[in-house]
Amino acid sequence: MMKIKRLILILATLFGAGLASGQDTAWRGEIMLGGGYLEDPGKAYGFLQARGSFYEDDAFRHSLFLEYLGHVDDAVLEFPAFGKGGFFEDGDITFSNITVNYELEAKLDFGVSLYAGAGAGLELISLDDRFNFSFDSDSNFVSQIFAGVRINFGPVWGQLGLRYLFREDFSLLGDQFKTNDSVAYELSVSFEF
Amino acid sequence: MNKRNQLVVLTFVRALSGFIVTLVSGFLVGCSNSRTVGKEKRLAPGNHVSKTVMDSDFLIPEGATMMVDYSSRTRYFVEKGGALTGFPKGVELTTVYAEEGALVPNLCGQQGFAVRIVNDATFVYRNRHRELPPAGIDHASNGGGANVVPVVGVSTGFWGWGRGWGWVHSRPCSWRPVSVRLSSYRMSR
Repeated sequence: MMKIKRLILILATLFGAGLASGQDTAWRGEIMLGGGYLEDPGKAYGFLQARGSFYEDDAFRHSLFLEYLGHVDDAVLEFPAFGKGGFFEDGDITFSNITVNYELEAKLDFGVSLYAGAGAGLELISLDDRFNFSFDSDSNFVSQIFAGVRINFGPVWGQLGLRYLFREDFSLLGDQFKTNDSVAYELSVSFEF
Repeated sequence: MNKRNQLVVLTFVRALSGFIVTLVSGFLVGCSNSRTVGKEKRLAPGNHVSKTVMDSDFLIPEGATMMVDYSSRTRYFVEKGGALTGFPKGVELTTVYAEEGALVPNLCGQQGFAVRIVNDATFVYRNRHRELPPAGIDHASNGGGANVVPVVGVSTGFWGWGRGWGWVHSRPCSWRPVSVRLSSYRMSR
């Protein structure tokens, strides 16, 4: 609950700060593709964003975007064997974060801008064997805050950013697994349309 | 051309031909390393990578990991603590004899691939020529030669083989795991 309150506070602050100086309204669409490194659990991830700017002036831009962020981790599945013990097989666990986010972008000179934002959504967790046959799944609330720098190269934007993910523990095959909130470092490009 | 020049040219030609022979040999050796055919080997602990394995038998002991891209007409014997992984390019006529606690790939639904659980993979490996059918041949239908007898729980696919060590058929797709270990997450209870 604390996480939700904190997130709403961050969103409201960002949104208020941006709107205070806003003048024009212009819808602009963007597709962003990127990848990064999640410090805990130390895995690479990829993400895709469908973005729309709904309010923009010379100094600020307000955007909303829907994001898919995914990463995969290794798992060892234990099957019951006849008699004692069990036998083991390789598997994997897939984390898919689907979030709605708000972002405020502050425009600087020379096509460089700073951005910050926050978002929330669902983390879908799926436990599969190596042929993607799913054995169990779980879903949790996930939220994030992010910030970074964006550089304009004509119709393409390059972006270097940091994000902090707030994650919940999850449950698979009757066992509860502990997650830690984590920092992530990322690089991305976006295309305007 | 005087005698000294002839000697220089001869030396140069010999060096060049030696270099070419070395280069061609290196290329051929490099190619053959990616293809293992007709090999019978007990692997040393550590990682082993083979792109294509055919007509071979491998014993994978504790501490050894074998990664294979494609396997055909091959038998793998995996001890507890050993690991067999890979097969992204497919598998056919391949049988894995694995001890409990060995790490083997789940190729559920793949034709020509079977996993049998054995009590002693080394023992099975040593006796492979006397008692085992060729790779990929279903033990249950192999009536000739070896003495194949069902032991207990035939309906669940558990079979015995000769001297009291047993093996089972591949895991049916309907089997579900009872627990999972994740490499990056700890259980919270």
